[in-house]
Amino acid sequence: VIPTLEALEIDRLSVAEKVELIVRIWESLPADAVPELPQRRLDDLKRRLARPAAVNEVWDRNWNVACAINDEARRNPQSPYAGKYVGLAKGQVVAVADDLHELVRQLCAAEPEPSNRFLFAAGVKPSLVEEIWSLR
Amino acid sequence: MPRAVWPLLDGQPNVEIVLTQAEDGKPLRRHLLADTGAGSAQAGFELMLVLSDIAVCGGIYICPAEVGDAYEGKFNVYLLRVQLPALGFDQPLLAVGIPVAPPGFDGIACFRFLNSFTYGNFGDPSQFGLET
Repeated sequence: VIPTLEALEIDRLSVAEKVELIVRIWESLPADAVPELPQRRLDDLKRRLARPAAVNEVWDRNWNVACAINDEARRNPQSPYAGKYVGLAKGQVVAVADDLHELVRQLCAAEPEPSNRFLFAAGVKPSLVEEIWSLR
Repeated sequence: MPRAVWPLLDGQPNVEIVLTQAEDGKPLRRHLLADTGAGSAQAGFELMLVLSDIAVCGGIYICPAEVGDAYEGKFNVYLLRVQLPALGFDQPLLAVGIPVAPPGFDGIACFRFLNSFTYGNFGDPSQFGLET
């Protein structure tokens, strides 16, 4: 059984200490061991590497909740969010709608600060990143 | 059925939209690359427009969004009025604000937007059009 973050007191470390720990664990892996990461984690790594070091905590909270809802909606078609547009504010679901523009209306009414908002279509595709294939 | 067609620009499909300038209400015509590879049918935005046009037209900041590949990272999504007069289309649409448009264009008409119409060359390979 893998111990919890709380049992190892990892949850009490700072972000920098957690990153250092991740690096040490990564370096402890055998050189020929290539762990298989879920697409969601790979997307998240790509996203974090692409942006400035200053972490937007609200964005991360929204992103993690959205990924969890999306994964659940893909696994379980009976999920109340499957096939719906979902609006988040500071990591909480505040709007659900069949239509994108109705969702935007609900989301804006529920959360006045745009940078706290996040919207996505749940269960439609594995990644929440919208790929822009042109110009390649 | 109303149809609007535009000649290809440098061999690429395009759509002409009309924005509305916030200060004086004057129209701002913009040619967008019609790109079915830009985003999904369920994307949280319909267009990609340069930030200066969004500012001039009083776009309302809605939320951030993540895009990948040709444009990479976190961008803001805005709501602004978009018209296609030939189709009688006049609606607020969601546009990702981008710093630079594809060469020769003012932005991108994403798949979600194109897919809300019947689109294609309608039998003439020198043009691209939308039909309601």
